[in-house]
Amino acid sequence: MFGPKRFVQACTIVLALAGIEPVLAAAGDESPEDDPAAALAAGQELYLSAGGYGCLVCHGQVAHGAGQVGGMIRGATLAQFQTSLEQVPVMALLAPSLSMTDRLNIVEYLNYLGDLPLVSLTYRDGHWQAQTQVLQVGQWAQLVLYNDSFETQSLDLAELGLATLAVLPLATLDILWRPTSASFALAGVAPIQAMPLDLR
Amino acid sequence: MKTLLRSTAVILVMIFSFAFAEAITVYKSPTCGCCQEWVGLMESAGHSVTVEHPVDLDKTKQQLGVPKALGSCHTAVINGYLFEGHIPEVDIVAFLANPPVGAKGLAVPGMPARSPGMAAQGQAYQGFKVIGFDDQGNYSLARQY
Repeated sequence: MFGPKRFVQACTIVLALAGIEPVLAAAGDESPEDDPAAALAAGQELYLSAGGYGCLVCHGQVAHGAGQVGGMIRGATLAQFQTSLEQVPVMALLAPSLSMTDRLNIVEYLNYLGDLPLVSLTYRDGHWQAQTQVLQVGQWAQLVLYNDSFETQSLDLAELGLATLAVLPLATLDILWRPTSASFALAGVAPIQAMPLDLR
Repeated sequence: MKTLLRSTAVILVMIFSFAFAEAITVYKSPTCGCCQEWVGLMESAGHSVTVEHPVDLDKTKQQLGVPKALGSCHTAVINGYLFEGHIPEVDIVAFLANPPVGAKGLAVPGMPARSPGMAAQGQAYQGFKVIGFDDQGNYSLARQY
């Protein structure tokens, strides 16, 4: 399928490769994966390993920012990715190691994440605190739990229809979850805040 | 009097730093610029740094014993201890001067924007923790910036 995102990506490639025959840019060796599932898997693998350390070092385990220098990049476009590779000094050295297919696959993964509303649950200063993006009933969302303490912390997620989770010290857990209501409250969690666009 | 004390303190810190100048091996990726910035800071402080670019950096970190939760972009090895990520030189020197019993090393997980090698020149370090870890999987706070 050649959905709107693919179309935008293809157009962006053409712009990025200005001066090169558009058809060749889309259909040559540098073309994106034809199999979306394979592209997504390849993008995730690259996200976790590119450069030997992975994008997660600067952007968090699931591109949610995690307080790191790169911030939240869920839903980033190919144009934004290309610009960063060209203009952000710490990313410029990484650019030559990523083919156009690699870049498209990473963007595929970021788009997949961008379509998942994010619920961030962080244990810090003795209690859990939550931030959430807008949830849609029945639409997959992603829970990200981070334990910013030196002891294992548990959180009862029965209200969400999930089992209690134990998070190891300084560990991050991410799980997919399908909300049954657009809002929720969890025992022992501070009032839930709306999440800013960028978590830095 | 204050000026004299300050000058004396600065001289003592310099003597202390160079007395503990260390041979450091840093494992990093050739695609990482901020790692190189951190290496430069360590060299400027008087340490001798050997840089290695392993084919599989992640595997190297696992073999060295860097806890996954404390991962960053580069790993330094000094006197058998591990130093993961953008740790300020002063904390490494202090650790090596008096390593806690059972300690395996220090870490600054991830890529904090205002850590050494990431912060702009002259910018104060802030917004991150230096975490100590031991060979039993325990963590402790070495310093909060």
